[in-house]
Amino acid sequence: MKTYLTKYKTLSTTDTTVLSDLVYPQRIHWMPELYTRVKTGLSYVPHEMANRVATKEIVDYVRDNPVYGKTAFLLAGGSQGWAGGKAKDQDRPSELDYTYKMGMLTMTNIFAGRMASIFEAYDYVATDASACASGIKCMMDAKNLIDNLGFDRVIILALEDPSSKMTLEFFGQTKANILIADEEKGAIPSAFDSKNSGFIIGQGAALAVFESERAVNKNKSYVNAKLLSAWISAEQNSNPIGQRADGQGYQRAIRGALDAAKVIPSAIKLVKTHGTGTLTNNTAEKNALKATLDSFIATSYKQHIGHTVAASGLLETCLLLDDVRNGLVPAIKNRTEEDKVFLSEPANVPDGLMLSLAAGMGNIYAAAIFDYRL
Amino acid sequence: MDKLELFNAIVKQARPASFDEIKANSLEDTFADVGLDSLDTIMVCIYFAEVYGVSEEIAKQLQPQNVGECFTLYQKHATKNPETIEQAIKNIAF
Repeated sequence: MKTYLTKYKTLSTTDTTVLSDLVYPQRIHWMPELYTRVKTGLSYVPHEMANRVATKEIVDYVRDNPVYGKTAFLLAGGSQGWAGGKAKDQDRPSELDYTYKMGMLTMTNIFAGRMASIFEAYDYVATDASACASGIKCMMDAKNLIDNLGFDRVIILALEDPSSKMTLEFFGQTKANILIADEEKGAIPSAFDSKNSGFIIGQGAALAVFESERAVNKNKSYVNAKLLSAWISAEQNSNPIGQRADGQGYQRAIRGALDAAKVIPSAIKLVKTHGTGTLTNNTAEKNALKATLDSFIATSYKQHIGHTVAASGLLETCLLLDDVRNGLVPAIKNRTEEDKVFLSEPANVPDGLMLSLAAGMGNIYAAAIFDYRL
Repeated sequence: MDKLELFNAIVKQARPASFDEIKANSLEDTFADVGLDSLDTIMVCIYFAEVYGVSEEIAKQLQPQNVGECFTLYQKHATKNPETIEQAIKNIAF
């Protein structure tokens, strides 16, 4: 069964703000306008982001164009409950403080039900807690629902609250991202580079509608890309926040996606890497790509918009489809060496398939294959 | 200020923007009569507390059963008394 990406909307920013009043001061890709109502306790950061991607245009499209089969709504939420406005330890007053008065909607499954009803997606509602691999994990679910279970339409909303104090504190404690203290020592975000490395956090969200071929034909829908496959894998690792240097998890995910799509490795010409730029991810992802593919170019978005965690897999995939449509694959920001594979300069869009990768804490690795040549 | 008009304006804010609009026709209407589900009802009550400046501690004790009771209960503990609908909605609107 063919599966198409018919509609999508993204939210992200390239602007950065230094949040100096945190326990771990850091720069993030931040949208202060999201907090206007949040400060009153009547809204919640993830809900404000959802309002901006679940547009009337997409809601109307879904409602005005019924399909023969079933409709599902999947929330790629990263975790089962979003972190709130407080940090657990060493809390101090911050611009990020808020007290949301409708706490039950911070439970991802309740919020998913709320969003599903907006889209009148009453056949199946689910949330996904595969951390930063959630977006692509939901693509795997969408493909399965459409291929095997009689669904014609799957709506995926990918977001969480990456700028919550708890999340920022967690990243700061684990030294996962670049803090102001690191910046003062010269740290600059990049990926697959020998000098610059690492990422900062970013707010972002994406909403996408995947539909079966018969749904597309019935409604004569515009098609952005064809989803050939999506696959998730774990890896043999005793450390759930570590990554194997050989990229075993990535390799398994890539090979699973290739098998499911029934395509050979040389068909993949363009890769959206997970690209956090950490030393462990650089090694794991690069080794996995070298071990599984032939000739390709690769880019990364986290240096442009930050790491949007649960949203990242779907959001970055959609951003690359935007760039493909505009004819240019962006370079990986802040590269210091010339590199024609892990791009140090923008490149023309190659004639081939696109592989989108993600990885999540808990040893979760994800790969999806798209054909944008439509 | 017309109470029904204010109630309906608050309902509009509390429910997702893309839901069909529903309206109360009488102060005696129950929430079910209006078409509010349990989550809508919670949100409408929280919005009422905000509009009238009722503290969370007190608001948690209030359990209005119909449209009219929203006004009698929240106005009884009000620290704010907006004079117009625009004023009332200003701080809760998107």
